[in-house]
Amino acid sequence: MSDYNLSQLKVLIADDSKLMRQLVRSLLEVVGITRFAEASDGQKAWDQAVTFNPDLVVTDWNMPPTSGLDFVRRLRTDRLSANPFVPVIMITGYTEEYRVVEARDTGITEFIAKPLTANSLYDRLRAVVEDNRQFVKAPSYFGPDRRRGRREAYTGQDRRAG
Amino acid sequence: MAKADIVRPTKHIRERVGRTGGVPLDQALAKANQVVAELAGSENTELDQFGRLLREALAKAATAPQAARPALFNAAHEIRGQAATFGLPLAGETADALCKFLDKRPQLDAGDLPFITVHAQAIDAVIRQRLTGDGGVIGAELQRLLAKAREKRLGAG
Repeated sequence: MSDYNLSQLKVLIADDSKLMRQLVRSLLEVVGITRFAEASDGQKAWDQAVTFNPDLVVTDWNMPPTSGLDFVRRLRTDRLSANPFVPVIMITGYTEEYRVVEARDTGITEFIAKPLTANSLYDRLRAVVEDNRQFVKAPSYFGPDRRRGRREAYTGQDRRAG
Repeated sequence: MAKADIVRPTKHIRERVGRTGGVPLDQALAKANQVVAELAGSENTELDQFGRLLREALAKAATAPQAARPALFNAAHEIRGQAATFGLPLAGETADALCKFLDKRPQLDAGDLPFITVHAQAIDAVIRQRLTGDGGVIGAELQRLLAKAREKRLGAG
């Protein structure tokens, strides 16, 4: 992660497990982050996102009654969203490939399959800081370009404008 | 083809990050591993609660397997994420296998019960006894036998 100074970041942590929220928060405190908001489901996370305006969101997927995916979808597309471009790291027990694709198609920035380790979290944190992807706006999608690093290589007729 | 536009983000997390002056990665990792170890050693009542939910779902499955499926999956799903993160990878791996089994069996019937039961009981035993680590030779043998049982059932589908 180099030695990026992360002390100015505001981070929203959404997870129905208090212990997981505590773990994520503690790991982020280790790298100098001090400003946090927490939420235990997707609706509360949305409320926090509107008022706290985080620079980074770390969210679980399965947190009834409102899922992490619904929360991310709203973050990206609701006109009340304070920052539709906010990077989102999703940490989840889902490991099946179709689930990863589903999360990607909702607009998450990075995905971590549990078990959560310090290495995996810091690696994704570095990735979002260094992420140079543009966003894509389509009828059914708004989020980071899902074609990581492949845009320049493709010159066919289906290449997107811009 | 549907139209898609490229949008340049008007805000980026980098604007709030200093290029230098942070905590060096090796120091951060050393401290972080300490944090994880401390949390793993603390009393994990959530994991006990998920273990209880799994037992309740299993009891319900004995008479109504399909009705119990969502509760079985949810409990196993929570356990697979938490157990491995907090030092019980054997429970995490077994819960992951149970989730994948349930994923492949959208309609449960009585024939699935023995397979679900052995997975749930193994998970419950690991959690209750706080069996840390992967279980060594016994853990590997347990996983091998469970995998064999799953393959047999899914093959018979």
